[in-house]
Amino acid sequence: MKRAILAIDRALGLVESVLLAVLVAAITAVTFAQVFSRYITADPIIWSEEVARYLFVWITMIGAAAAFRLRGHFGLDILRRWARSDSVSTLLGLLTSIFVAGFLVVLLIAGINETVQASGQFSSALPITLMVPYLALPVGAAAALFHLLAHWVQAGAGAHPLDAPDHAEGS
Amino acid sequence: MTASLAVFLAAIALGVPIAFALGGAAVIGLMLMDGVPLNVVATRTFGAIDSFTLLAIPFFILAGELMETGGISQRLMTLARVLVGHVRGGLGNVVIVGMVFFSGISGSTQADAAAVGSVMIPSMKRHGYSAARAAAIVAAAAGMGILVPPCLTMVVYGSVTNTSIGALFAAGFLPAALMAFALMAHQMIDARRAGLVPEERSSWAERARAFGSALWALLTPVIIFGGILGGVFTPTEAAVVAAVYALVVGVFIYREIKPAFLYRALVRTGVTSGIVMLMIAGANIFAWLMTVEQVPQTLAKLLQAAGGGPTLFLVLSVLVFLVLFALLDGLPGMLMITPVFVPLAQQLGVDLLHYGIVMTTVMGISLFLPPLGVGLFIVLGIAGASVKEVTVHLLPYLATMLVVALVIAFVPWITYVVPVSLGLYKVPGM
Repeated sequence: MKRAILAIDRALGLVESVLLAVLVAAITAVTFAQVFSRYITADPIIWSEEVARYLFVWITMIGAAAAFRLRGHFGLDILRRWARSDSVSTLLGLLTSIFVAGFLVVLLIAGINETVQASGQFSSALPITLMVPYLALPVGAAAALFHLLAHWVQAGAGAHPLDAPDHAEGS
Repeated sequence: MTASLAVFLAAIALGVPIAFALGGAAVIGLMLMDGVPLNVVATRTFGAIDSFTLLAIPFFILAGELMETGGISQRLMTLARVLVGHVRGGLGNVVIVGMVFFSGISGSTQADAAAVGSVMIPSMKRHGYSAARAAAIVAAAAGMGILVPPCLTMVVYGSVTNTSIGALFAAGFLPAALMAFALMAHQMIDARRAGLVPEERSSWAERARAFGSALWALLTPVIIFGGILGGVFTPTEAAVVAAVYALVVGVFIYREIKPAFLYRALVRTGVTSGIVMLMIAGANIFAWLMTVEQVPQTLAKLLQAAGGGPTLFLVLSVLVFLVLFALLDGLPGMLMITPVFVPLAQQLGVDLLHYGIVMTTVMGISLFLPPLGVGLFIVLGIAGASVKEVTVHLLPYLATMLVVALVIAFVPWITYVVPVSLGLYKVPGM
């Protein structure tokens, strides 16, 4: 079970990295094409800004989830550095993880609700409904929760979600 | 009001990442309010990210990642050395001038410190500088460099407070120049006392060669500022053009960008953008809650009742920023404090352009403030010096910088003159 979770965690991390590279390349190309079409050709692209904004929502949510695995989120670590005893630092780690997981669960549920609602709204310039960009919210929250779970499985429930990676392979 | 603010402070103390402390405290505040559905968490998160202005963030990050090759920093530092290496203070001046060049193509202070430090610290050590002295000069120069646009802090501040990013960039020039001259003067006196000899004067042929080799990199700020200040590009467009330009120069001219490097730069851009944007989303939910609960108004009344006005508020702000940004790596600290302090500044009649420049200036000092500043550790890692050794050399520089910061805080003209004369900003009430 433990090995399966960690293997999925690694695979998920790889998928996130590849997706991020593709999405960042795409958003750069689309936005550059918009600038190019506006200043160089006389025929400005009208759909590019909306595509770029929706890609950005996906990049943010996947990037924020991937940052969990790479322990990239910023937080204050003074109290943890001062905590001398193991039981205190376990308690700090546990409380932090619960707080973070709690917010992610709210974001997941609210994200699912809004995605369902957005299925009735059509985008202004694209042949899609707003479900497509909204879906990034629950997907990102779920991926982040999974990384949090994998961290618990690997390092124990009291491990702080901000602690240095021991299985992250660069980025 | 007290519940969500207390939860937020407790969460920060526990070590909850800023984005989640902001968002989670807002969720608890929402739960305590009647009739507000939690779905607002999703819509505010989406609304915060779904912005064309903020798209400048990933593009400036990407441009920085692509420019962060050894070759470009080497070329820029060589140019700085042939220009000012012979002046009293020698390599110290080279660091400061080189940092101005480098900050002009990169939006991240930490990246500037790493890039300039890894070229200059070894070279300074070879010329008789102690590791601690070399580290201190690079740290101080990088703290100045945050004011040289383009600057990620200004992009984020501008988008979350609805202040013109072009005006913020333009407003950074004069404070950056002041800071650079103050540091050079300080550094020259210091170098004379330590008996450090300057470099030999370079010939004009050498200067021309160095300029030619750095030219492609130096064109980046020309594109960015020419574009934004000339009103051709929005900051987002300028950022994407800078990123594509960095790619073209790196692949075809300097030939340093290989596929693996490009892949890593793209992934890192995505992860860093995700981290920054999630904090902005958290701040957006939290700021909304603070407005609904009228927290800034209450605080403004308290401050005024205690006999304080804008002056006291600015002094307080500088002190709070100094500590908070050292504790929380600058940008996260800024996103944490803007929901309360920016509306408070508005209540007290402090102009937001000026406030943003003061915030950025202080951040430059905080990032290198011993013993916590995150930038400090980057420099120390390169120099191989301890916090204790470097503090002796660094504190006088930081004191000089703090004096300049206070001058910038209390002489708003320094902020306004460039953007107003370029027609990018109109100071309210003038």
